[in-house]
Amino acid sequence: MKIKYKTSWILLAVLLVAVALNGCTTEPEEHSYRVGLLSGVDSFNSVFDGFKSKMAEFSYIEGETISYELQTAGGDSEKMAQIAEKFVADEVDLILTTTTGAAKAAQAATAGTDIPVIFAIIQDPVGVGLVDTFSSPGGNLTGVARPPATYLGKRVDFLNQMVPGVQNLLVIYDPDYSIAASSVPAVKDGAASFGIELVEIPAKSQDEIIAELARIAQNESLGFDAMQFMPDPLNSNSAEIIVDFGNQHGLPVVAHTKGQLNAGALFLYADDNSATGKIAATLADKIFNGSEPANLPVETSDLFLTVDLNVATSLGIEIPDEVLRAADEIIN
Amino acid sequence: MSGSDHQQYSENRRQKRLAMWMAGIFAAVGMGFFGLGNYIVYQIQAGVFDLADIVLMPAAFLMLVFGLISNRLIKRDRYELGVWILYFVVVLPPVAAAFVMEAFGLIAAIYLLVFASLIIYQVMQKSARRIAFVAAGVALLAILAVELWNPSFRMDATIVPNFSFMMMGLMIIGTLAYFVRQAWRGNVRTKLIVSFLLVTIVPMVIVGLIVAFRTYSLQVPQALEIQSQVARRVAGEVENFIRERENELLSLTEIRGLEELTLQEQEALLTILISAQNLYEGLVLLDGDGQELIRLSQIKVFSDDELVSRAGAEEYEAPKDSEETYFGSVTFDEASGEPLMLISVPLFDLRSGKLTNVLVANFRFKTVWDIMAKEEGAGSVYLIDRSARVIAHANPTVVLQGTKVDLPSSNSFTAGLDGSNVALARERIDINDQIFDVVAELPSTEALRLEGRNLLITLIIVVVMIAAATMFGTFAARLLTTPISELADVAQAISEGDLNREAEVVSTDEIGTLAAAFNTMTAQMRDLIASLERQVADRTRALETSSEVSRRLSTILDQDQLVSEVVEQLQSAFGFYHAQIYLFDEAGQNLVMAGGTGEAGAQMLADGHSLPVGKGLVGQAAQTNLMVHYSAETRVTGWLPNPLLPETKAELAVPISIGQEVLGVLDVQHDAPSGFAGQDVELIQAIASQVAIAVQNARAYTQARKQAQREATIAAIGSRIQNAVSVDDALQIAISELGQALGAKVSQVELNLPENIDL
Repeated sequence: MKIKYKTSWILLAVLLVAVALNGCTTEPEEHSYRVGLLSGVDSFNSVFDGFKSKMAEFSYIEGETISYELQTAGGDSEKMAQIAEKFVADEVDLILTTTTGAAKAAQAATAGTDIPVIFAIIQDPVGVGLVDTFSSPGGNLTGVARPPATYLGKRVDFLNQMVPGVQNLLVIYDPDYSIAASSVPAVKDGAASFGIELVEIPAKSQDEIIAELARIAQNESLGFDAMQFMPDPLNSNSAEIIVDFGNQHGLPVVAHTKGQLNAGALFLYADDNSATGKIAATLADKIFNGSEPANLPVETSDLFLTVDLNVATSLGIEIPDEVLRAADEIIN
Repeated sequence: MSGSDHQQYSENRRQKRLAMWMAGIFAAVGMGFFGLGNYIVYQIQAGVFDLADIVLMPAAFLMLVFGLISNRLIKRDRYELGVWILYFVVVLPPVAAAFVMEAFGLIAAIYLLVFASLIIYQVMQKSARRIAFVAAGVALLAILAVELWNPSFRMDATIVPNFSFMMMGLMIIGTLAYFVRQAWRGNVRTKLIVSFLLVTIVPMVIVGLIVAFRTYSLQVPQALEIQSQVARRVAGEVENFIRERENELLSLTEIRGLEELTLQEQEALLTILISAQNLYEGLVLLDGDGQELIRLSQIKVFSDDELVSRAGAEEYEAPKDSEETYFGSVTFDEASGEPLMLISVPLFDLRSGKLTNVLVANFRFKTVWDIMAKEEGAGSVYLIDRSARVIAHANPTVVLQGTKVDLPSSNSFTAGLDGSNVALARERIDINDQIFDVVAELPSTEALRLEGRNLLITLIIVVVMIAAATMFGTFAARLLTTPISELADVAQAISEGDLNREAEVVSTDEIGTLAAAFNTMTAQMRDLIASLERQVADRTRALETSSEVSRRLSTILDQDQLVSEVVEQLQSAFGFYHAQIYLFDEAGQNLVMAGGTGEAGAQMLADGHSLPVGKGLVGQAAQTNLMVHYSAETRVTGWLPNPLLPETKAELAVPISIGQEVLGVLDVQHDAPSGFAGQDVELIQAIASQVAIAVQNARAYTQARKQAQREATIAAIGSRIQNAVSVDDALQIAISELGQALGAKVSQVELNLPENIDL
């Protein structure tokens, strides 16, 4: 009988040790996170570079404690939806999207799951229904928003300072892409402040753009003396075509993305994609540490002015010193 | 009632009393927890019940109720049921607590083990233990399962640490009570060890607590001072940063002469300011009357139609009136939630001194966040405005969520931003009546890391000392109690009759003395018993001799043989040196030796040794008819040494007498100076009396036989004479027979007859 009691005690002691050890293992264990990177438009892919570099600073080691799968949609809404659904099927730990379309696709695909989504390069997350408010998003999405659309009009201000005397400004946009369509008034208002008229060309495909530009080129007068990119995938994908057209005709082109600036636009006044990616990484780190996206406020990115003096020179534009002083970056 | 029944009875009563106490204590604990739950809900949680409260408060209440029920049941002798209820009062609450609270499994498991074992071993009947063990095992498994499952609904209750302390305290008290009780009931060794431990540990713990408290009370202000320094430094940086903005705005007029430029130049200048850095959300230039001349935003173009008058607005009126820079209160951007602050600088005409313009800048506090982010380490520094809302923090989320804090007015250890305990210091910044506070907080575990280390070291020292004390205590107790328990063993053995057991004397202290004395006592007892046994044996032999002498005396009718036998028997049975008997001669004047032992006896007998009445001990005894005892102690007079018996040290002469008639004297001599014991004397007297009777019998017998012989001879002679045919024959027969009978050599009859008789 005695021995049986002893055995019971040993069993109980073993259980106790098991409870204790279990208590130790409830500490956050080394877990390898899988992040789906959904690129709406390739020109914003530097967001992912910024994201990865900041995640590395947070000690997420790529290939060990974190892995990334980059899928690009190239502006194709259907592809965005497919990619988002694939990520959900793969049960990734987080989806990071660029552009409004990709964010909407991820939102639709993750509905009913608890996969968190961080969006970047979004003009108006509240307006498009991604979050309830900036301070409390409310769902499984949070991210980094761009400043209000009015800043698109601010570009006209800079254009006016750099190239005084611009009278007509051409904007090409996809009327089916809501953000682009809703951005037109902001540009229009900005232009109006300087007495500049907006020339609008709605286009639904690259072919339409090419055809339209070809038609305009045949006219005696182009009808505009500057061009400005609009925020839609069509503009992003047609950067070369539009910039080439501008350069051929000696027109200054205002960029919306870094890609467009690189293609030969005069200046860019926008948020920094890499910096945006870094902000997205701080949000991801918080989510991996247990925060709910619903409680993580949407952050707003800052604006930076980058001027390409080479383009200015080739166009024969003398940029005033005041503008150069105001620039955050000058390419020369 | 037999001894073991009584023991069982008192054991039962003891157990019953203990069980009642335990039930009462657990009822009290239940009441305490219930009260605590109420306090937490109504005082701390403002009447809000969370999951833990919903489960644990009823559990605590049931603990109280069932504890009382158990107590009553046990009192009314429904012991078994009462103890079972008590057992479940102990086993179920920790399971419930582990179920609803995170990080509580270990504490719950230890609680369960400690108290379940207390009840199982102290009050539960042996027959019920098996089931109780199974129940405890199931409860532990349940806790383990909950820990493994780790359901998301469990609370990470902030009360857990305090709760854990309370539980630990309760368990320590329970364990201590158990040990004290064991010591109380245990043997000397246990008592000694526990006393030793108490004497060592209690002061150690007190000293440890004092040391810990001293270092704690030293470290708390130190830790707060460090935080205070951090807060001061950051406050300085923040203030400088904001003053820099003021200077930056002032420099536009002081260096660039803003007020004297054309509107276009002014706009260009302001554009540079707003675009070059992301410091300002907007810049507005007002004229002397408060009308907007230029309005710039980072994100928007304002047309001339949108320019309004700011006359009456604080940002215009205040700098106009005070002629100083105005700092507005913090506002938050509606969309992004970022904090902003208006800074307006009045510009004056240098000659007239008239207000020409007011430059209004909407400063982005976001740029201050970087200052907070620079602070590295486990702590955090943040800036709060007048309404205690966080406006700058290394973590943007905190600001954007609109976090508000409730801070104590003085630097202290308190709940920080995330509710955990922190060392918190604040430093006020007063920028032209705009009040901000820089708060520096560091988790208290980090702030008191040194204290923690001190505590750990103290704890280690205490634990090591306790281990050492236990070891030395056990050793010392063993050293002290081993001889005592050995002594107890020996005493036990002796009490069971083994008088040959001896205690080992290993030390010279009191215990050694005790052991030696114990051994002496045992030896004396052993000697005493041996001497008693010897006495009994002697006595038995003497009695046997006495009865043997009596038996022999009754069969021996020859006086000489009788005397010889008596002295031989006496000497051999009692181990005397010499024994002899004197008898009176026929004249009754002298005492003639009739028999004696050994060579001396034979010699004296051969010599026909005799003594006159009154001479020597023998003579005195014969004369007085009283026993005379000579020994080194008695020193009677008239003792005559006998050269044939040189070893004689004591002599006893007992008269052989019947009534007043003394027949002789029985004389025994001893070579031991102590003489004769009373019992021996009595026996010798009794033997002397028997000898007297025997001698008389022998004499009477001899006499009677002689008489009979004589009468037979006479009868024979008479008969032969009767058969004589003549007188002469008759005479002849008579004379020859008579001569023959009398042993005469010559016998003759001489008749002197008258003449007239004719034969």
